[in-house]
Amino acid sequence: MDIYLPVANLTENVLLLFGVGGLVGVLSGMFGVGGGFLLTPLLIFLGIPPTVAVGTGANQVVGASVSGVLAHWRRGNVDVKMGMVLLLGGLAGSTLGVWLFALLRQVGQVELVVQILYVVMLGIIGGLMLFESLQQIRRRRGGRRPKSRKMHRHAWGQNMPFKVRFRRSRLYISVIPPFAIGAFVGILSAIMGVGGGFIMVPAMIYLLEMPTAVVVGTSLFQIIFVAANVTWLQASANHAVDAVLAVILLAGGVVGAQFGARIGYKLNAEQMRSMLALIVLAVAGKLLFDLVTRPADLYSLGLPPTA
Amino acid sequence: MQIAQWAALGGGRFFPSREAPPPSAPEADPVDGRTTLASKPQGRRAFLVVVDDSPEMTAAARFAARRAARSGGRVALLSVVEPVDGGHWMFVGNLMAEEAREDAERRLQQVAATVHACSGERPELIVREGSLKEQLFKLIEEDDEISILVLGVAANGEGPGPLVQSLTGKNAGKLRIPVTIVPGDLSDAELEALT
Repeated sequence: MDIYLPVANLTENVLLLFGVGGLVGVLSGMFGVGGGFLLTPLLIFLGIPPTVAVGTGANQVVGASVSGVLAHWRRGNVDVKMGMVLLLGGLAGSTLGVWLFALLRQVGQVELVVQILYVVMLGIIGGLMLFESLQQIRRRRGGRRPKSRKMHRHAWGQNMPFKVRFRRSRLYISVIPPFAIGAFVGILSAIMGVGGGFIMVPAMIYLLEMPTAVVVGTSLFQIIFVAANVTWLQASANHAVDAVLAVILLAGGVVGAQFGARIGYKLNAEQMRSMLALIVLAVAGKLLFDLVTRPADLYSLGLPPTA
Repeated sequence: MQIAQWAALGGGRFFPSREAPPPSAPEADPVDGRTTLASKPQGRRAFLVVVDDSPEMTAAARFAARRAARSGGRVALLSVVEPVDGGHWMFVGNLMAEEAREDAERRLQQVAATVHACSGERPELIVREGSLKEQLFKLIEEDDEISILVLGVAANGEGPGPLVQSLTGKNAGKLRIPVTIVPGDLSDAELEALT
């Protein structure tokens, strides 16, 4: 059941790829995450070039976010106006990111940069998730309730120009901070092939002080378009999206997400989360290991892209 | 000697006591009238209204208040906080649950004021966490005094809400109490005439 991936330029087992898409789908269905941050490194482990893994990962994020946003949309938990501002920033950032990606590729360092970024990011995310879930387990045993958040301590953008009223979020702030957050996450999205919800959502809560009911829906809403922009630009400018790979992964992801959503309700959330954190840390560790060990082939030959 | 002294002096705290304080149940919340409202009238049938953010719900609450006042009953208001998904971070989910609960409590207080104005009596306030339908069925099962469920339907032709749909459809036979459905656009005068 091997299939040739034209852009990645290698042959892989279809079932294996389907399985990877399915596994990431289960996790995204279970935790309501995009899964791009796990898909890209898993593809790299399979031997798919990091450039193609990033471009194709962004495509997967589009699919996961579309299915994720629907429930939030129905409940009215999307602040479209705020989403548009974040999206404008995201489009600018992701376009810049794809350009940076092409530049790094020209220098021949894109694979190294992608892998280092992933080690750092997954290390931080995995560590924080583990810490958080252990704390929650301890707290539950001790029977204490989590501390509540104090609203409006120092809302960013209160004293900046271009203030706009965001009705759904009950905010009257400058568009500069949301634009900047969108742009930053857009750059990450382009270089790493992730949706960036793990940064976007905390930033919306703590920097923009949006009501938590709308943050997840709004971030998913804008991720759809930013990730679509990344996929489009990575395909057209960098030739880094493998359509065959993308279709197989998406098919696996759709099936997996259904299962994940169903299991997610039944299992102990904290323990599942600490497991996810350990998976993330393991992936970071493996990437780090691959970076610092002596490679099997000491030299890699490549032609600079002629486009 | 030294070790024994150390153990006697408090070395034992390194081994956490098994008798941890019981987890504080959410029912201990002051707004939750089920446990803290001492003036809960006993033995009177209750009109249950499910509080959400729909406009037709207030019509149901006003109807129930008047009806209860006329018939010597009382009103119980239920708000259900549905579980939320915070994505990557657990603290996001925690914050969401907390804010959803605060919103539910605020709405309950608003509706309670309306009910008070219509019937002259404070309604019983109930906050539950979980799925709306499940908690509704459970509450009706547990509380014998709840004898009528009052629901509102939107008047703008969008069709009934999910709760009305489910109770008149798939789950129609499961309830042990009657259901009253109140059109959402009834004016105070019309309600007055009906009750």
